[in-house]
Parts: sequence; C-alpha cells; structure tokens
Amino acid sequence: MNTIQNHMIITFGFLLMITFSLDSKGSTPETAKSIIQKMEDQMRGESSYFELTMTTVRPRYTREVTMKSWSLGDDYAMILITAPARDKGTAFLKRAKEIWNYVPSIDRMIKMPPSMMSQSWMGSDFSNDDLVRESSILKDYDHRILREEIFEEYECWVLELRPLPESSIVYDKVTIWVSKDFYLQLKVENYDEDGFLVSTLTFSDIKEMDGRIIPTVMEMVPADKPRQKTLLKYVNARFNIPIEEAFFSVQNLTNIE
Amino acid sequence: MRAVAFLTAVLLLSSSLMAQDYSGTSPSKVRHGQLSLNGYFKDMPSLSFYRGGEMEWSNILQNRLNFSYRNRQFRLAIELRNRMLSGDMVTDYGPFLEEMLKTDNGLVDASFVPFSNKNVMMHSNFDRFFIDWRSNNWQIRAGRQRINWGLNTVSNPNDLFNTYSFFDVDYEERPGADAIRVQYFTGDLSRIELAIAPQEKSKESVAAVMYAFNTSGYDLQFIAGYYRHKLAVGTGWAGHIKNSGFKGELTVFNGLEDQDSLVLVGAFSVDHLFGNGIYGMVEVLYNGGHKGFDPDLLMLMEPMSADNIFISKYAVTATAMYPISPLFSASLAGMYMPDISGYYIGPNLSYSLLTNLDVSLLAQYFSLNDADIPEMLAVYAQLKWSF
Repeated sequence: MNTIQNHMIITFGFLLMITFSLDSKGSTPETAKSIIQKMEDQMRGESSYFELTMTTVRPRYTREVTMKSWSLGDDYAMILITAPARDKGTAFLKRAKEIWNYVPSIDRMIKMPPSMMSQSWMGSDFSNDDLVRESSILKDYDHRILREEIFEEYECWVLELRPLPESSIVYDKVTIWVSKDFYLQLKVENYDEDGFLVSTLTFSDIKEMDGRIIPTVMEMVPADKPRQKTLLKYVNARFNIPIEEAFFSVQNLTNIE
Repeated sequence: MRAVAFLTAVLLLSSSLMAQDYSGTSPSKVRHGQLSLNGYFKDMPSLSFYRGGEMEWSNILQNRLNFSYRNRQFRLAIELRNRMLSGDMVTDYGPFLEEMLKTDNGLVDASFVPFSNKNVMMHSNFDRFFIDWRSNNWQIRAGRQRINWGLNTVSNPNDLFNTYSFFDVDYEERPGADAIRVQYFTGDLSRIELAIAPQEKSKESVAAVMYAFNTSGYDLQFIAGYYRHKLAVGTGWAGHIKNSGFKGELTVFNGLEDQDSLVLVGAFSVDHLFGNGIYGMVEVLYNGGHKGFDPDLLMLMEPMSADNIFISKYAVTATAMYPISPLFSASLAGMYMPDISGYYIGPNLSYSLLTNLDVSLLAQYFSLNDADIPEMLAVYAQLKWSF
C-alpha cells in the first residue's frame, strides 16, 4: 500500500503543477479581469519546464520532494520525481483528463482513477479547491478592484474575487494582491462563507528565470494551523520550450530522466 | 557459473555499446552517460501464531542494490537482492528452504545461497539484469526484467511473464522474467510488444504479443501467445465509470494437445479516491484454472502461474488506505475466498521517521478452513533505509 501513499503525495505535486500551467488569453486595459489575465500570463508560457521542490513543514519535522516537470498548454504535463530516494524515478503523465503513473521498481504503468484528479492529498495545506480553482480564475468569479496599496514594497492592486453562483468553489471570497509592475501575484487570502480566513498563500523571492520576472517561492499556510505550511520553490524554469504533444507519451513516461 | 558467464556477456556487450556511443564524437561533444547506484537496507522481524498456541519467529535482513548505467539510447541495469534469513524458518525448514531459495525459475541461474548453517541463511539473487536499447519508436530489452502487462492492483490474468504473490510482503519489486522484449510505439499511447521468455524445457516457455492503445478514456490491450504449452488469448482495460477507476483483465488458456482444457481467468476492479482522503479498491477474481487447494505456508508467498493465479477459484478483495498525516498512513486489505471458505485480513501502518527512513507494522491473518493450517496470524515490523 506504500505505493498508493506515494501516488497520493506525488499526485498532489502533480496537481499543483497543472495549476501552474493553466492558460488564458486576451487583454484589455486595467480592469479587475485584465489584471488577473496578465497575472496568469506572467506565470506561464504556452509550454514550460520547471525544476522545483515541495516542502511540507510541521512543528516537529519537514519533508521535501524534488521534481522536474514539463507542460504544454492545458492538456499535457509530465512530472518526474528526483528525490527522495524512495520515490526517485516515479513519473506522472497527464493528457487532457487522463493520468498515468509509472512505478520504476515494478516497471509498471498505473492508470489513475479520475477521482485522483479532483481531490488533493490529505496531509497537505492545499484544499482541492486551491488546486482546481485556478483553471477558472477568470471565468468562475466576479472580479473587482478593492483598493491600491503597498504590499512588501510593491505597489499593488488588491482585488476581490467572488465565485459565480453556478461554480462549485467552496470559498465565499478570495482576496488577491497583484503587483503593478510585473502583474505578479503576491498574496492570496481565502475566506469561507462566515467571512473567516481559511488559508493564506504568499509569493516571494521574486527573481528573473528564463527572462521572466516571477515569484519563485510559494507558501500556503492554513489559518487555523499557523505552525504548519507547504512551500513550493522553483529552482529552475524555462518558458515556451520547444516541446510537442508526442513528448507526452507512454514511451517517455517509462524512460524519462 | 552460467550466471557469471551471462553477466560477463552482458557487461561486454554493454561496454561495446558504450564505446559505440562515444565513437565519432569530439571530446567536447561527448554525451556522458549516467552511472547510478541506489537501493535500500531493510530489516523485517516477524512472529507467526498458529491455532493451538504454536509460535514461530524469524528475521529477514535485506539489502537491495540497483546499479544502472544509461545514456540517451542505452541502459544497463543490474539489480541484486541480498537477504540474511534467521529464526525458526531457518531452524525448522533449513534444507527445504535452502533448496527453494537456490532454485532459480529463470533460464539463467542467478539465485544463490552463499552461506547457511542451522541458524542463519544468506540468499543472494540477481533479480534484474538487462540491457535496453531505444531508438525513435523502438525499444528492445534483453535479460532478466519485469514485463508488466497487468492492469489490476491485485490479480493480473494478463501478466503472462512474471506472476507474483499478493501475500509476499517482503518482495516489493516482484519477480522478473528472463526474456527478450521488443516494443514498437505506434503512437503516443499505443504500442506493440513482443516478448519471448525461453525455458530450458521448451514446453515451459512463454512467448506472446500485445497490442495496447487508448480510446475514449480507456487503455485497452489484446494479448495472444504461447503460454507453457498452452494457447493464451486475452484482453485488458483500464478506464473509468464516472469518477471511479474501472479495470479488468481476462485471459483464456487452452492446452495445445488437450483441446478440451479451456480455462478462463478473469478479474476486474473499481477504485476511488474519496473526498476525505480515503483511497478504496474492490476487486473480483475468477480463477478458472484452480486445481484444488494445498496450503503450504512457504508456498503461499510464492508466485503461482497465469492460468492458475490464486489459491482459490473465486476471490473478492477490498483494500482501503488512509493518509493520517504526511508521515503516517494506515491501510487495510481484506479478502474472501468463498469456494474454500477462507478469508484474509492484512492491516498495515507506515510511518516516515526521517526522509529516507521508514518504519511499518503489518499483519497477515489467514483463515483457510484447512486441516493443516486452519488459522495463522503473522505480525511483521519493518525498518527501511533507502539510498
């Protein structure tokens, strides 16, 4: 059953990557919507390659998973676990709504149930909604500019997002801080229907990677457990890489390094 | 000796392939291959309890070494499993156990007992050694490898080459087969595979082809071949019903000489990850090749054959896994075998002590309604350091 556990841990990271590889198009001058649009565009290209680490921090321990990921558009993604030793070589392939997992020790490909895609991993500080939300951050919300303020030395717009009635988003309200210079997402606060803060996402360590200015560290802290968090750190990034659909194949899944 | 000769051949062949890879390229453009070594050390003490109060203990200290060299096209893998067995298992069944461990079911004898006395037995087994070559849509692998055609989690009627035992908690890598396997990838999600696993007694050989592809959210595969002097034809699928995974495998075997020996082995399963984090799976198995039940504790852990894959004719298996925290997970497997009125329960608790250090506690309870082994409870602890 350990394998299954590993699947979940890794799937979590995988879903996170999918989150970051979601696309959006079109632009108009600074309305709430166009700010969100540009923020999305900044964080990704049509295709991308990332090397990253995901760290789960708890009062008494931390655990780190290191990964490489490739993505193309909304539909194609591949992830390879490079550490820890126990999970090294484990890989994931996503094509549209299907996910396969490769387990090197038994040289086996496992087709994941669709429910794996829409749920997240128990131990993490991200909820399902955090992961799937971004796919519809433009379409499923009403956006409005609340105010402008300085946050962490950056001039920011503060936007309020309220889910549309037909969406299945669990949060009642989401507040986002977006920097004016590079349209960088700097902070996200998620609120429940009673107006209480559920979790806070902060983005930091803003750097140039492959010619783009992006926040390279993302930190999720649940409001009721301030001593625990999940950190996602980009070590290397490349955008608009020459990569084709054929890269996201069964042959590559079982041979990727 | 044959094993040594085979390994030498593999090494020679690989070094010549490596040489080819480097030839014709200027030093600055040489693509360096990657050498890697990984594996683990694991200790697994266990206690077994039988009806009537009899108790046995044993310990298995295990070391796994996976050597690999790879470059863009080529890969060489040699994986060694070393185990130091001790306890009542060795004291009580010494000669029988030694004989069993020495026996390598493959074409190449790569299983050794380098040392044994009445208390301790050392077992070494090269359970993977192959060379792999890849170019465009082709991939060819020769040597001892795992040819995994199974799609289900527990029972794999499509797994013609390397059947495994669900009850063998010590062997997470599962056995391999001495074979040549050619894969031709006809598309991103489709491929044709041909695999041949010859045996010294030709009638025990296996040779089969598989065509696998993906359509409408389903992975589908068709297999046909020669299985130990039987004709084998089968199909398998992995797809979904709504949000649950739905998988199945069916294989029909028919004796080449005894035309009336048609046997069907089939299993299908459904799995789901629930919103509360519980992962559940249910599988139903029909093992048409069942030939009566002769329980033997050591044999329970041994793989059977594709045309008689389990100790009963019918089996229903349910498993559940729950991650209590990022470090701690619990799982439970239950199995019911109606035709032999048997059942099995296997709980498992796993905890990650440090990044590469895992500890787990597991148990296996068998109620087999059999005169020799009516009931057995085995409790295992496991400490594993991966590197």
